[in-house]
Amino acid sequence: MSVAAHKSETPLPDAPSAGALAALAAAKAMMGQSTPAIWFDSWSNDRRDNDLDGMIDGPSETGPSSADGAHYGRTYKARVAPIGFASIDTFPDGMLRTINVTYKVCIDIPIESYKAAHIPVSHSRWIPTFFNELKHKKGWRVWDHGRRPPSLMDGDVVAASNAQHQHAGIVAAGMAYDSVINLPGPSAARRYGMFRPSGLNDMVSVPRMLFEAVLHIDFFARWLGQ
Amino acid sequence: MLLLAFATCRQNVPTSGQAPGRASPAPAADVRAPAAATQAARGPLTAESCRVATALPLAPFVVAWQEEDRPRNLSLAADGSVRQRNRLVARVSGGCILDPSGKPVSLVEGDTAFGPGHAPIGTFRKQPELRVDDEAVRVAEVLASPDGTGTAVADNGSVYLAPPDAAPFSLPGEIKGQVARGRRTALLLWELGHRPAPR
Repeated sequence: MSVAAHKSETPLPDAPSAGALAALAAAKAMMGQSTPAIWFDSWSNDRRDNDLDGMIDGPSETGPSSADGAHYGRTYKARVAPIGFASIDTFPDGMLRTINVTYKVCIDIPIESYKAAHIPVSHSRWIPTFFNELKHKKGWRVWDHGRRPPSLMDGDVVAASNAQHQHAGIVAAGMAYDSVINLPGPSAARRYGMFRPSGLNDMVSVPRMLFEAVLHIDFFARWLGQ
Repeated sequence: MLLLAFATCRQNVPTSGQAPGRASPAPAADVRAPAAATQAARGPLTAESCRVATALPLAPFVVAWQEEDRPRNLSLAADGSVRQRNRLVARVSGGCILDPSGKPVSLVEGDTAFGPGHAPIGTFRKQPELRVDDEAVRVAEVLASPDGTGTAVADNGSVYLAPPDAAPFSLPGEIKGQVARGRRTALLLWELGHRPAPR
């Protein structure tokens, strides 16, 4: 009997593990964070002057050194307008304020949430590798190739990983519906009227059905360990 | 013979105001200096520079990355063709990457990589491993950009960024295939894929 087959027969607990709940709590705390701000790391098209050169999405914010995800782990300065939905070019200079910002991509939210909960998790920021590494980590169960858990639980990590989309988030189960806490890029946020160039946190919580309808869910992962 | 003499003579024409016959300054320890100096002295990348440079190693692989939630990739075939969504977008030939019209867009001379206009992209530096999250990741070498930031690909295809002033971290992307056989080519294609589209 293969390891995978054996694993699939292991009964699933009917409640989320303490570690999964701690990770979800960390994700919720991140979603409420404003100092430093959390912005999606997409310098070339976020309607922000990320490198403070006086230009929004200027030439210096494009290219390999400004690739998505390349500004991880450091705190940057940025200027914001007094209204979240406004970009800085719509207000006089004197009305702008300087804030501290950290830049992340979507998969950083589950990674950092589980790291905060002291759960062993993959550190790969490439979604397929992240889930493939979880398959080999003790305490994790991963569903892919069309398989899925019978229901979602708090702290489950879900992701689209297909030809059109790669996007990940962390599940908050609900009585009426489940939600996915995630960090969308500026294009997706703009598409749904949620983008706030002068906002202090790009993270959102969306109904799981909406997440799945728009992106599809190709990977599910659950922490079952202690 | 005269032609040869002329060519040799031209190669010795000093640049940057250096007096004729004066010895060249000793190479600086900083890897950035020679590349920057070279940029001023050279013209655009040419077919000849591609031909004389050491050929870039060829190995089939796929370079994949994310732009927001959109997956992107470039695939390199054993014949040197580089495709994106089944469309030929580049070709690896000799020491260069050429655009579909045959114009060189990247070149490796020695350990230095150049982009369009012969602008230095960075220098390949031997570095057996990176320390990422307290683990040693085997990368063999790093492409260090002029600002000192290193980009590297591990044997398993994971791509890392090593800023000069911060700990290395994984990038959202991977290079799938025989990376160890074509590491330099892979890193050049990674760089090429992230260049802004011409406007």
